[in-house]
Amino acid sequence: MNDRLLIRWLVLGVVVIALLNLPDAMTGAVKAAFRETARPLQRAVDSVFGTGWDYMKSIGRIPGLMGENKTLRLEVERLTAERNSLRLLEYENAELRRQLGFQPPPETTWIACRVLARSRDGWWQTIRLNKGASDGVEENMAVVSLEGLVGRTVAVSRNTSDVLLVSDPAFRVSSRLLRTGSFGVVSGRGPSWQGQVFCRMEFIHKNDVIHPGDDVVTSGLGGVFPPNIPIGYVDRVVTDPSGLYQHADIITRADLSSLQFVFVLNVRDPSAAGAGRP
Amino acid sequence: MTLVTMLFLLLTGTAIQSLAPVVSWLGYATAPVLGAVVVYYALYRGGVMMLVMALLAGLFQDSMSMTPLGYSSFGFAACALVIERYRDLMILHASFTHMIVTAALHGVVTLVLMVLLLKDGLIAWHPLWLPVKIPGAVLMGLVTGPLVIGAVHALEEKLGLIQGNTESHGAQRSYLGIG
Repeated sequence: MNDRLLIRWLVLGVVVIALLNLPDAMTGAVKAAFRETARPLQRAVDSVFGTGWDYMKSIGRIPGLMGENKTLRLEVERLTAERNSLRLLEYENAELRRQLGFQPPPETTWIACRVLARSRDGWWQTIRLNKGASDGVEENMAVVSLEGLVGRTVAVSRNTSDVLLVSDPAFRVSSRLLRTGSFGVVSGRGPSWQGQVFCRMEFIHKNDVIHPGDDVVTSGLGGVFPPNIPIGYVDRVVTDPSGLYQHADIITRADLSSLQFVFVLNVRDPSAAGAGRP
Repeated sequence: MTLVTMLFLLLTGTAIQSLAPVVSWLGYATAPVLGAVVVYYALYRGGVMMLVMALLAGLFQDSMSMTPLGYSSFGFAACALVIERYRDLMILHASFTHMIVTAALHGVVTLVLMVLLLKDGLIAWHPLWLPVKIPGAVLMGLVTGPLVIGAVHALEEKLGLIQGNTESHGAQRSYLGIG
């Protein structure tokens, strides 16, 4: 090995060792800077291909658009009427809570985001959103779609944020079976090689009777996820080899393979806001 | 101009790589766009510029995922140094060379990443990774390599950063004072 090559290997070694030993805060800042640098072009490529793909799909849907439009108009009218009646119930609920001295529920802001990109390497199940710290997104916020839980934010830069999907093996959320009230922990199982995604609810008490189709929602324990967000429904139930628990395979409500728009939930607890005041 | 071209290649490569489709039956192996750019720099440039490109490409790749910073840079730079070491034995302008070298780089980098991530407990082991994901990465490298390297070569030729293609064997490179 000649001297120049040796020097290059040494330089490489020093740089890599320095990179691997950066403090967490600095690593996050460096990653955020690189993501921000790549964002404009990533957005441009996404909009070109995304818009093109949307047009392609819309061409095939033209024959059904009239019917779909009519159905959606009826749905809007139905939902408007439902919203008005719910507003009355909300006022009544708030008044009763006030009279009973209950703490008000946390205020939740829904931050609408477009999915910019999806982690493609298969090591992790993540998506990147087009909103970041400048829009009020912070780490460890719940992310939902209209169907149910999608994941939580794990890395936030100024204008983008990464979301760890509920299907990732590193994801954990305290959960509850809606019918029985049984508690458990839902974790991701990653995608299968057929491309299907599923999760598993673990540590369910061995005596609880669970049926396929039972709804699973967030329990609200742990602080990150508000309660009662739909996660999915039970596909099958298996008794743990230890005999102490049972676990259930869950099919997620949100279609994680075709997410386009999601909402980051910014939950502000009024009691927590007032706690620091003198 | 060279630095602007490098930045353009890094940004475009990152954008295309993060949006290129993957398939489950290849173990979700990605198209190695950034890897192919590194191969181009290792074959046609070498030296400090190659190392800088390998390190930056790795940083961009790691920043786009949850991979700890430096893992891909290490893989890219180590492979680039090996390619540079043996490029005198290669037919530089042959598409076959681009296919094989990019496939080898992507296979090795994927394997190195898998080992490092497993060692750190950042991912859970899946029995099909070794027989499916690594061959998938090699296959993606075979397809992506010639396309990306051809495109980068054409771009640099248009910009006047390298002279027109000459019949080259071994390391007969034709630069305009670069490399």
